[in-house]
Amino acid sequence: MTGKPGPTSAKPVVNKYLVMEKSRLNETVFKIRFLANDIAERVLPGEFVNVRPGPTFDPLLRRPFSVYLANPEEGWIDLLIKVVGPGTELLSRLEEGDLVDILGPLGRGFDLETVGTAVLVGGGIGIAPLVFLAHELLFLKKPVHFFQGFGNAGEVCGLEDLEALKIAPVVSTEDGSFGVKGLVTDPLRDFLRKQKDPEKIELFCCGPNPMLAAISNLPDSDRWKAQFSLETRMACGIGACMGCAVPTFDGEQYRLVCKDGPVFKKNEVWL
Amino acid sequence: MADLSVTLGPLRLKNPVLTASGTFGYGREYEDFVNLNRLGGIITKSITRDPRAGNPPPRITEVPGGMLNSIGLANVGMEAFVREKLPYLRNLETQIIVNVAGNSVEEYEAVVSRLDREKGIHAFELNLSCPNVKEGGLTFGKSPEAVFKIVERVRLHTNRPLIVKLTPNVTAIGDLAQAAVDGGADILSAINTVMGMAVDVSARKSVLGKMTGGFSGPALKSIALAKVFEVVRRVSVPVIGIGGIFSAEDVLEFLLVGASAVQIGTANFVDPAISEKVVNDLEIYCEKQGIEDLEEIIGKLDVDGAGGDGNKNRL
Ligand SMILES: Cc1cc2nc3c(=O)[nH]c(=O)nc-3n(C[C@H](O)[C@H](O)[C@H](O)COP(=O)(O)OP(=O)(O)OC[C@H]3O[C@@H](n4cnc5c(N)ncnc54)[C@H](O)[C@@H]3O)c2cc1C
Ligand SMILES: Cc1cc2nc3c(=O)[nH]c(=O)nc-3n(C[C@H](O)[C@H](O)[C@H](O)COP(=O)(O)O)c2cc1C
Ligand code: FES
Repeated sequence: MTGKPGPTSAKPVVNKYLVMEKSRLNETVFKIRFLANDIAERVLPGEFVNVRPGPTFDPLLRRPFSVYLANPEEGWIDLLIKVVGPGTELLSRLEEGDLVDILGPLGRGFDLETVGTAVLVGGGIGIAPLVFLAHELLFLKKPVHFFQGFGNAGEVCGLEDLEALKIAPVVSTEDGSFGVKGLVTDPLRDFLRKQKDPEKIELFCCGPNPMLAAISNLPDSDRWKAQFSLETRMACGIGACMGCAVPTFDGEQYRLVCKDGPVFKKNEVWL
Repeated sequence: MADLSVTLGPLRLKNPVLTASGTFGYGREYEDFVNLNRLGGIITKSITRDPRAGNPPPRITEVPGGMLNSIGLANVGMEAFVREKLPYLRNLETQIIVNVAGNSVEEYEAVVSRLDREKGIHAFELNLSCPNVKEGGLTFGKSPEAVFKIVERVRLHTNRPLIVKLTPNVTAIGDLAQAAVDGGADILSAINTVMGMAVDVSARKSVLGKMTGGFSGPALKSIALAKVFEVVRRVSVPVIGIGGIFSAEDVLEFLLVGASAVQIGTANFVDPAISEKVVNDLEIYCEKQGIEDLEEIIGKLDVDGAGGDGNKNRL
């Protein structure tokens, strides 16, 4: 099987882009808007950008982020950044007017060629590429169902942007402090069980690896299609270093998340 | 316009800036960011006889001052290289250097003799930081006897310039340099990565899938400068400096110490356009300093009365 899910967009660019605005969505998640005409006009849902956290050598490597929203008319892109370490910490301190070194758009995004009924499933910050995807699916007039899980109420983010799209997600939290109590796979399992035409369903999933693995192990998983957006550590982001490899489903080979992914089809990679 | 060209024995480069093996893919990955024809040359990912899938992930992690990698020589193998990668490289107006790796002397010989039949390869670089399967996995590049033997044997298969890349993970890099020259190397390059490790305390595991990896990046520069300094004093063949180069200033440091050219590695990940920028900045430097021929400064480190502030040293 060759890694060929979504389309690849036009050539990537590397440039310094202006921070237009920044907002804090919860304790650790920030939304940052960059004036980036050339990225906004070519990026597709599921593609990512590789961002240099600062101008010095510490931290050194770029950090990958999915594009959360893009507006080609106004020329901006939004990133959703969760602070987990030194790179995201530095990015969270950006201010309006700062210039940031961004490389993108990169990777292969979601394949929308054959989608019938779309079911989007996010875990935590995995909501990021799905909001952009939801936009595109609505534009294509596809039915969209959205399941989103968080650890607890304090981690909730992005729901207002879904509301603006008139999408009412089924939200779950592990501790029950917001929405349904439990894992995102619980309401998803019930929903899938009720479907009369599972063959028309396509899942689009992004979140921690255990969540992706749990989804691919749901009952009857051979009846619906699915695409998974993966995360790995990256260096170059452009297929040059071979650092972001993940094993294929048969365990015989590797695929590069930055080039063959980050979106992979079900049974293409080992989750 | 200053003359940036450098001559390394049989190899002539339009400028001293090469891209290091494993950090520049097969060249094409960077075509959107760099005018590849502006570079002194491109060094490919290590090529082996058969395709290699590489090591289990995680393969990379950032550490203070740089990064660790355990890619495991993932590459397409020599036949696919000739079929799929070389036609593109051959059409560029820059020197194409193929880095060669293997797990036995025979594998190095097989790769070099196969590639020597192809047009458009201007030199070979031997990556000797590989385990020798027949000798119980001991790295070739760590013993002068093994280095001599492998270079002598590979030498029989090509008349093209032969570069031997030295590992710093040894006590006396000068002995390896000498062995490589005795075996027939035209040029040496130094250094490959320094062995390193990172530990995830909460998981009580190594961060990398393969326990240890190779350290590269800014903090490697000072180590690499000292190694190059040691090598140029020991042998008379030209030396290519590698390690932590991120700017024209860094290149100049290596040239002063005695390197005739350099390779840019990890910096390509941080800024995919950096290799061409460094060439441009070298041009500007020469212009500003009134240097007509960049080769003039090679080895021009002032070593009389050691380093530091000259006056203080004299007291
Ligand atoms: C394609 C892609 C899209 C992404 N999109 C987003 C996004 O939209 N929003 C967002 O907030 N984040 C996203 N990420 C994750 C983000 O890149 C990382 O959180 C970021 O690089 C962390 O950098 P840091 O310096 O803050 O932390 P680091 O110090 O690099 O890491 C923090 C902690 O996480 C661990 N870690 C880092 N990377 C990984 C990994 N891949 N697997 C397991 N453990 C790891 C480290 O060991 C450390 O403990 C994405 C990643 C990829 C590959
Ligand atoms: C991800 C990665 C992959 C590498 N792969 C190779 C390789 O295949 N063959 C080789 O000879 N050196 C390889 N190297 C070593 C580099 O060519 C170079 O010697 C080293 O990184 C030091 O230079 P730097 O500090 O500028 O990166 C690799 C380095 C990195 C970071
Ligand atoms: S991050 Fe370098 S190959 Fe994917």
